[in-house]
Amino acid sequence: MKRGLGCQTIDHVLSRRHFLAGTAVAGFGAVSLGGFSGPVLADTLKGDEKRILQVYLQGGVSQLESWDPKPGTEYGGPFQTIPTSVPGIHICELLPHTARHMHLLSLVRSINLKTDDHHQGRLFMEKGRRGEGNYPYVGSVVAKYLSPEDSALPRYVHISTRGLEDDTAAFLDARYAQMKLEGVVAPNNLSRPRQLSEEQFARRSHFRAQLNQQFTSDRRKALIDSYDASFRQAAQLMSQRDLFEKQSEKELDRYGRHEFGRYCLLARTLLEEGSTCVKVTHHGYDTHAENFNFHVEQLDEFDKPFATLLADVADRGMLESTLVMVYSEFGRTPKINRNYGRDHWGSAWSIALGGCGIQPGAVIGATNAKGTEVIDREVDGGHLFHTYLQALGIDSTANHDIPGRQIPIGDPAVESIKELLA
Amino acid sequence: MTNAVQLALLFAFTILPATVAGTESALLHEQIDARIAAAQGELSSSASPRSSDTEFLRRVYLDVTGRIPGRHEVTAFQDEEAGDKRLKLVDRLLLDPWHARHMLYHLDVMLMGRLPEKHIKVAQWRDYLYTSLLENKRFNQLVAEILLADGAVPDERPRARFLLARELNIDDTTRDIGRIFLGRDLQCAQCHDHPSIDDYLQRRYYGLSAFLGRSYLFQDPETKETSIGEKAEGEVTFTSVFTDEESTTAPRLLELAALDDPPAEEEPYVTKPEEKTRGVPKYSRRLQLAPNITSEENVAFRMNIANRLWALVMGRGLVEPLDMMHTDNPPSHPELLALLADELLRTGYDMRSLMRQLILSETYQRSSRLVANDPPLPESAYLAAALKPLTPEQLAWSTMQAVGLVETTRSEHIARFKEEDPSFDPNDMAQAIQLERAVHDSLQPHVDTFVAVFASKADRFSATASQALFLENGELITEWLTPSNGNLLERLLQTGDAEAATRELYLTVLSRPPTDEELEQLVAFLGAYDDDQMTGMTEATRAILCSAEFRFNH
Repeated sequence: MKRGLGCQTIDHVLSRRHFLAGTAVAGFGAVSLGGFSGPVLADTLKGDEKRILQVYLQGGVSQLESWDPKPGTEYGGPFQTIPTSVPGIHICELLPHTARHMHLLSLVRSINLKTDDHHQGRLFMEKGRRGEGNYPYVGSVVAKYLSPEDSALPRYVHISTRGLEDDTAAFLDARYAQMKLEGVVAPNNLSRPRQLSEEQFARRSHFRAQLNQQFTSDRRKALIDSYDASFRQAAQLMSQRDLFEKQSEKELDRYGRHEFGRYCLLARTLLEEGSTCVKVTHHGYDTHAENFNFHVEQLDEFDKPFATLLADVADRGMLESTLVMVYSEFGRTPKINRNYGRDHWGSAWSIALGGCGIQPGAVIGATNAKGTEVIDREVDGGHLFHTYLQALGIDSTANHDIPGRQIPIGDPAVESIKELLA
Repeated sequence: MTNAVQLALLFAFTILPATVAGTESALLHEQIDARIAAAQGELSSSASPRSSDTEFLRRVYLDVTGRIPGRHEVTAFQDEEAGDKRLKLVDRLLLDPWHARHMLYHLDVMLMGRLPEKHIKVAQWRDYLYTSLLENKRFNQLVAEILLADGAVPDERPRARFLLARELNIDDTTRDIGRIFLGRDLQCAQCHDHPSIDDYLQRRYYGLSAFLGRSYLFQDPETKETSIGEKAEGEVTFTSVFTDEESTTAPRLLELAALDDPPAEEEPYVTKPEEKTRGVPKYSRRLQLAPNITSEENVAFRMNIANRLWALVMGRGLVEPLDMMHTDNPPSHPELLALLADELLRTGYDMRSLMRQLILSETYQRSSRLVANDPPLPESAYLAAALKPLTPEQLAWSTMQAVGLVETTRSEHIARFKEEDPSFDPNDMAQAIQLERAVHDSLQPHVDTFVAVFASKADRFSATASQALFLENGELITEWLTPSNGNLLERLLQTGDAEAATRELYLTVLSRPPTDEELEQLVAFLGAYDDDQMTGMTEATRAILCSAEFRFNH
């Protein structure tokens, strides 16, 4: 077995070799890679890290007011479509900036989750499994298999205004759990107590870790691991204080000065600095009343910062190694309720994907003319989960090798959307 | 406090020991153990042994009084030889005013979920809860008082916080009443019958909301105080998004019979609702809620609070999540839950007596050390004590107890009280309450700081980087670790010897003596600071305050 591929521990070399697509696993033989062969192995081993940018439109964006408009039909609503940079793909007129960068993205217009519940929908989209089962989120899976062991930055950062509590790491080590940043301000208490040297601080941390190790030895580990992980995240933040320096006025002009604009700008910095998964939440799409007015406001806030971020990632040559996903927990009912709202709708809706490993400019699946059901290439959170991971070169059909257990990474009952993979 | 109230409290405490001990329920804790053991079956061979005395002492202090014991309490308990010392400890702590304070914090979060102040002063509401808990007010009575309050009676105004802080918002209030008092989150039923859960019927949600549908917020034009008025008419209607059918419902509690209005009277009002007068109908739908929700027929009410008290003490509910009681999510131990619920009914909803029984069970008293965990043992089998993250309040008070702040504050107040009245005796119950209130009032701002940092919306533990930074670098704790006034750091420095300091540190912060290995380890750590003992002691203390052993109730 070779060392020195940029990874510090045997454990990590093993896991990378198990899961990176097409790796020569002959020497291990414990895990079958099921014949999947991805295009990205060589690059990754050269140290060109892959990463994922998740833009989560919380509450459920309307597919009819975004990626799958049906103007002039019974449930189409008042908005028109506009052409995009990809001939033949039209999206809602509320997304003019994104439309200009459509050639960097693809659409999946045939998602049926068979749930209309916020929580269930979110879990299915993040874990690739239906229900409350104890599985890690895609961000934690990616953090585990793609982030360098000595990562100086938090591997999986979520920038969000308010707390949705997520248990993202499940049975994976708590160090792969999401770190939540509330907005773009530096957390309090980033500096060591006065007069304490770095060495003294390190000595204290070491002693604390030692105490915890002794305490955990014969107790249940999950809660203690998550407590330990919070101290590791704190240490990472302390060493990366400059992330939170004032954002440049020039960049804010481009991104916008509202919260979501600032979050997108911070997301770019985090991706540049080496975070493996950056998730940005844009709140407020649960439009049971006044769906159309709300979507005008919400998407106006979303469109420019997102398009700017996408273009910046591409301009920096990072898009080939960054998977971009714009998703929700579900879409919204075609039927317009009496409050001019659209309700929860997991049965026929869309997301946008792009970047690393994704065929650009594609449209997968379709809904019928009124948008009330999927008529082509129906997929759910399970198919999408395999697709994200395979796009990043992770063999989602392999197992998580947890002490004493082998747990399939993706749901073995479903496969990736192969035609969407580059 | 008035003399009358003091007398009443004194009386309450004089008769309480008998109440706490109960009579017929003496063996309930054995029944609990029998049912837990029966469900364990073959797994019982992996059950952890009984906790050690120090493990038990710390756990009981945290669960009953919301803070760790003082170091003298640790050594005294270790030295005590009486065979029933655990029983005696539990009975003593359940009567301590700190217990009322701890339960206040718990009930406040359960009932109000840390909602901001609105219409009612939070301090007055908490004082109402505190006084109620000192009297061991029965849970059904407490709930009835809260749900009956309209905010118009000055003395009873604090109780109206439950409804007023929610601004009587029909959706929030209906949902919270379902979650908090019935163990059911009916929110999903709001738009349509819940797609996957049979009993979450839309009409239950609207049946519950119909109790409140005629009530409204009324602002008194002179005092500007907001209270609750009610109209004598108005129906709750709802439209199913699936069928488009419009339905209407009278107030109705889950599966109990609907409460139809009495025949309409010619004059339906005691006071007619006008712009400047609060409407008071002769028949109030809202006032039917309290008697109905607490009625014997409503089994969900006692199942819910039994499950919540079990979860509080044992670290997980017999039904999890606590607000998802329904047929698709059965209890791990159905008979046990029924037994606890029946016990509450029998004792007239005596929470204190039920907590006592839970704590006396062997199930509670097991060590948190696992005998084996490969394959992982199911937590719902209760083979070992659960690790319970300290609540923000428990963490604040335990930290202040550990660094010596509670003790120095208490001594200051005792000195002050003695100056005013030389016969002041902190062992007298009424004066103990006075003292607890004074210590609490002095230190509550620090508790608020901890709440701001550590409170989480979710019921589950969620450790964040900002919390770690607060513990590692925060100025508040730095200040507490500055030697002064006989606090922990001053005592540690006075020992003048690393071994003695280590023992003192372990007894004070972790409520147990160190093992030989730990002694050696900490002495070595302090050895690096021979020329700067103060930094050494401060750093050692801070590391232990940041340790998992301190962060959890185990």
